[in-house]
This record gives sequence, C-alpha cells and structure tokens, in this order.
Amino acid sequence: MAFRDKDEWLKEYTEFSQIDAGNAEVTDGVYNNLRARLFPSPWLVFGKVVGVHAVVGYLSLAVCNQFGLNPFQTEQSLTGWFMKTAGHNICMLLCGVFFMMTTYLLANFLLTLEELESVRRHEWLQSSVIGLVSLAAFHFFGADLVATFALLWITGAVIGGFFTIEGSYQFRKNFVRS
Amino acid sequence: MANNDLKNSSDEELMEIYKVGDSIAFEILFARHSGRIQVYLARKVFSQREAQDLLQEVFFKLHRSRHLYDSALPFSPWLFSIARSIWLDHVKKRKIEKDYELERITALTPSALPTPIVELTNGNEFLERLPENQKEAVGMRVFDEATFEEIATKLSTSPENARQLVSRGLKKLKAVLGKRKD
Repeated sequence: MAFRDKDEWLKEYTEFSQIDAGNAEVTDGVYNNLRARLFPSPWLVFGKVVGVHAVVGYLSLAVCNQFGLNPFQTEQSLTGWFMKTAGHNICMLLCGVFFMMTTYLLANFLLTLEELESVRRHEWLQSSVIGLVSLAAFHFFGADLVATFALLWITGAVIGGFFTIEGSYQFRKNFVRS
Repeated sequence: MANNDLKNSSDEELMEIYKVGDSIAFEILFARHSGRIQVYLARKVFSQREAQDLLQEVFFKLHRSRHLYDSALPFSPWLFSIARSIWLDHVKKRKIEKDYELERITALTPSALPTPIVELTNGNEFLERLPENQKEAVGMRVFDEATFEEIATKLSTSPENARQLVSRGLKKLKAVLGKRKD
C-alpha cells in the first residue's frame, strides 16, 4: 500500500492538512499514558537501577573482590589480576569501573530505551550516588577504606557508569528496535 | 527558553529542542497535532478507540525517531508519514491475524469440524440461513469432503473465493452456535 506516485502522496497529505481538528477530543488518559511511557519518573528509574545494583553488585564480588570483601570465598579474582598487571592505584580505578559497568550492562535487560534515557539525563549524579552508597555498604560489611583508594574507586565507578550508559544508549538507539 | 517562548516557536524549532529530551516541547507538539492525527486515524480505522491507541503509537514512534528529523525540512509532512506508516503497520497486522483465522478455519477437515457444527449443518435448519453460495460451499465441504478446487469448479469461482465462502459460512454457523448456547 505504498504510494505509487508523488501526486497520490500529495493528495493524501493535503487531506490530512485540511482536517479540522477543532472537534477532536484527545482524552487526558491518552496523553498521560504516553507521557509516562516517554518520560518515566527519574525516581522510579533510579529505584530500578538501585535494585539491579544491589543484586548484580553483590554477585560481582564473586568475580572481582572489592576492598578485600569476598563473600563467596573465591580463589580467583579480577582484583588480583588488575593488581599484578597495573599496580594498586589502577587496580582500584578498574575495580570501580567493573563494579558499575556490570550493573548498567545488566540493567539494559530491565530498562526501556526511555528509562535508559532518563538515567542518561542524570548519569553523573546517579553513578556518584550509587558509588557512594556502595562504598558505605562496603564499610558497613567490614571493608577497610583508605581515602585515596576510595577516591580512585569512585572515580572509576563514575567513569565506568558514564561509558556504559552512553554505549548502551547509543547502541540501543541505533540498532535495537525495542 | 521560557514556556511562553516555546509556545510561540515553530514546529521545527520545537523539534530541535525536543531532540535533546525537552518534555515541554513534546507537550506543545502533542497539543498542536494530536487532534488532527486522531481524526485522520479514526477515518482510516473507523474506531475511536483504535485511533486513540494508534495515536499513542504515532507519538511513540516520533519520540524514538526524533534524532532522525532534519529541522531544515517542514515538520508536518514528516509527522504525516509517521502517522501513515503506523496505520499501514496496523492494517498489515490485522490482515495477518485475519489470514491466520481464515487458514485455521479452512484447514479443518470435515471430520475435524466441531460436532455441534456438523449437527447444525446436518439438521439443515441452520444451513438454510446461509446465502445460497455459502450454503452450497459449506455443504460440499462438510458432507462431500470436497476440496476447495472442486468447490470452485462447481460454483464457477476461484479456489481462493471458495475458501472464503466456506470460511464465512462456518463463521456464521459458529455465531449461530454461540447464540444457541446462550
């Protein structure tokens, strides 16, 4: 049912342009539904991301210990490899990157593109808050935090968050129709 | 930009602002164009409710495609193209559903037809309610186990049309059956 020629398109477009929309009543429900879909509440989205982070962050400790926390008692950890290849400072930075990256990568399975867009609007703030809360949780569970290392870690977390959100958003916007 | 300034902006200017995620720009564009699109869609689908659902899809698609919009070009034809493509997708989807239903009904061999329908057609009381060509087509299919090609030859029509006659006839009988159950 594609347009056979320009004239046909023009004819239908002219009819469309001449529609008198004066009597058309678009209900509030239509607008409200649409608005909720296109501009989801940042708080709700933040809540979802925090939920994902709590689970994924905890599980990620099995692969990459943070500040010596190893609840799964795994013998191999990315931390050891980072430490050996790049030294202590870079290790802290990379651990932060990894911790935040896993959360946002997996959050992609739960968030719509519009929700990801909402995350993106506050990405620095959101990653910083989640990073700080994570550090507080590490401390609560017995990690010994040193200011310099914690600073490097949170820098890594924010950078990791930024690149993962941006990468995920661009990928989904351009290649995924969902 | 203040809301009043935005209200005075052209559609093209609003789209530029909307591209970076401004929800007020969206609100103004929706207020300006939703009525016309709803009327356009309602004329196409003959249902106010479906038109409202499709209206949401139009603006959803506009939202997802907004980064592709070139503000050097007028907005209205672009919006019209989106509305039309949403309507076409809707038509295609409905056609697929209809074809599936047709396929499902006509794939039934007489022995696989639901017993009540066979009973109804046996009684002829209900079969009589069908138009002549449908009655004949259903009768041939149910009693004679004729193929659609055979029915087509007998009724001097195409096999496709014979399939439709049987399908419509069976649908009507199913409707009668439904009423009788009530």
